[in-house]
Amino acid sequence: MNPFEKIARKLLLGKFDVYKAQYKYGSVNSVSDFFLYRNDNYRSCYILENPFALLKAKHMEIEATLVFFDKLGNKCFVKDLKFSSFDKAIDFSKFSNNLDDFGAFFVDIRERKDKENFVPNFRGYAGYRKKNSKFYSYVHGNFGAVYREKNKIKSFGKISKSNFFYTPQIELKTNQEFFILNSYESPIELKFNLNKSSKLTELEKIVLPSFGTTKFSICASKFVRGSLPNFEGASPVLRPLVFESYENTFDVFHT
Amino acid sequence: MKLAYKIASILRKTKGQGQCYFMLPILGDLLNSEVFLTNSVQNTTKPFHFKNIIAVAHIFDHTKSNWKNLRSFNFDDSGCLIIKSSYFSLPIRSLVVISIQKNNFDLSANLENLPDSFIKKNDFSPHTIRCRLGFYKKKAYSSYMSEYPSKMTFIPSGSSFSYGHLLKYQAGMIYSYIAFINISRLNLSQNGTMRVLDIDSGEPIFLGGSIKNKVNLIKVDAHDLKNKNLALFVDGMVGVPIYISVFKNSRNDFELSVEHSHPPAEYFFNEANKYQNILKKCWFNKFS
Repeated sequence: MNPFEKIARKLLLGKFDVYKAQYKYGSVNSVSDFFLYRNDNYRSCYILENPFALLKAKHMEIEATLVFFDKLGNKCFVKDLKFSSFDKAIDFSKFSNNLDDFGAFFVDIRERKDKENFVPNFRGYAGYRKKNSKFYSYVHGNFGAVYREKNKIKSFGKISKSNFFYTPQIELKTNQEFFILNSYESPIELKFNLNKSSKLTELEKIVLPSFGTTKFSICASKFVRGSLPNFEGASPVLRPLVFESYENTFDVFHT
Repeated sequence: MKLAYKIASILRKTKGQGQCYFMLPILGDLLNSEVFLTNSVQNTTKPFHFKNIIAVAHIFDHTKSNWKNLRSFNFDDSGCLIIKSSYFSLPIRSLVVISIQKNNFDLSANLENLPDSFIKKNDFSPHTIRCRLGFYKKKAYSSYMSEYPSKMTFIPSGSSFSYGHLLKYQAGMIYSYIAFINISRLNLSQNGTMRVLDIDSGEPIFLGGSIKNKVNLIKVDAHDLKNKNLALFVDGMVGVPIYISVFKNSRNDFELSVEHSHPPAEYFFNEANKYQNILKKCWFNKFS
């Protein structure tokens, strides 16, 4: 960062800082993105990368846990894994009875057996398929910086003092579902707005609990042609995951 | 405070920070592609959109080793625009690079270099500007939010490593494409080499050259996808690998999945560049 950027950032009182000012990442085993799972008319899987093996270009054992939350942010299931290959795919249909119809999960390393000083960052790939299809469409992780400290789940992410307005580079359509995951330790107020030439019309407002997940979509009666979706909240990284459904297929992407 | 913004923006611009370009790979009859953009500032503390901007398509002329302008595109009344691969009569593996410019940009001017892109980000928010880069075949459509950071276009050489996580876990996938893309502002003709290796046996699935400012396209067939652990090694340049998986379902419809792989630095929360370098050294030494 150049000196003027540092000054400007300080003047803004760190408004755009994504991470909390003071954190000691050396004290944690791992940090993870926050991922969406779907258990409704879609099914989910996850490709878990093994950063210990990838660093050394050889198989190395990893013991990891996937921690699942329901849409209200309550922990609902954990899945323990142990493997040494460079990655592993986990099919969630095998334990779908333990999950909500949608929610979030993150990756936790229970115990470090290596002697490296790095903190692995799990950004993996979540896969989604329609219930009657075999083909997964993959998306990388959503900002989370979630970690476990002793038995508490925390996040290095920082909630801002003022609201941000996030307008993804997509046209708003009625066949879209927008999922927002709250990876912060506090609830966050969210608004889903319609953005037409920077004029916002509020469509929906909710308070999303910590580690909770919500879904927005627009109905035909409120749809305005040529408008953009907009998401408002006290976070500089409010990036919804979008599912755009077609006749027999779909697209999924981070915005 | 406004002055600090302005000064920082100028300094950022001279170092290529905060700017980015958008890639439009031309894949011929294999797949169609398109870029979707708006004139809205993506992430800001107050909704804002830029007026008087256009998108300009550029291409690198490999016979003359220089960049040239192809055409410009205007945002429509709702502030959106789509640029499709079908708008250009270009051969497969061509790379159209899109920049944002003020609407007084001179299309007819000779380019010494790929021009700076107008910064559509007027704050210090952590997100780079992205476009929606989509690929489609018949009714199947898949996209991801894409950008090519301007600072990467100044890197004259380097190496890229991408483990093939996105190649393995698909039942019944017909084939996948890896499109490795490098954009270089420097009018240098050095190219590089590209390999896709079965890392268990060390056998190459693909061995060939990689060319700057072009779409370096590799096709991986179902047999190799199902049975092998694959990784992409590129020598001589940095770039973005895009993985495009193609599937035909029981109704004989195509389905697609498109995503780019993380750079290895993303595996690490702290000292990411240091550990990325260690990782690349391990892999390149092991498979030299």
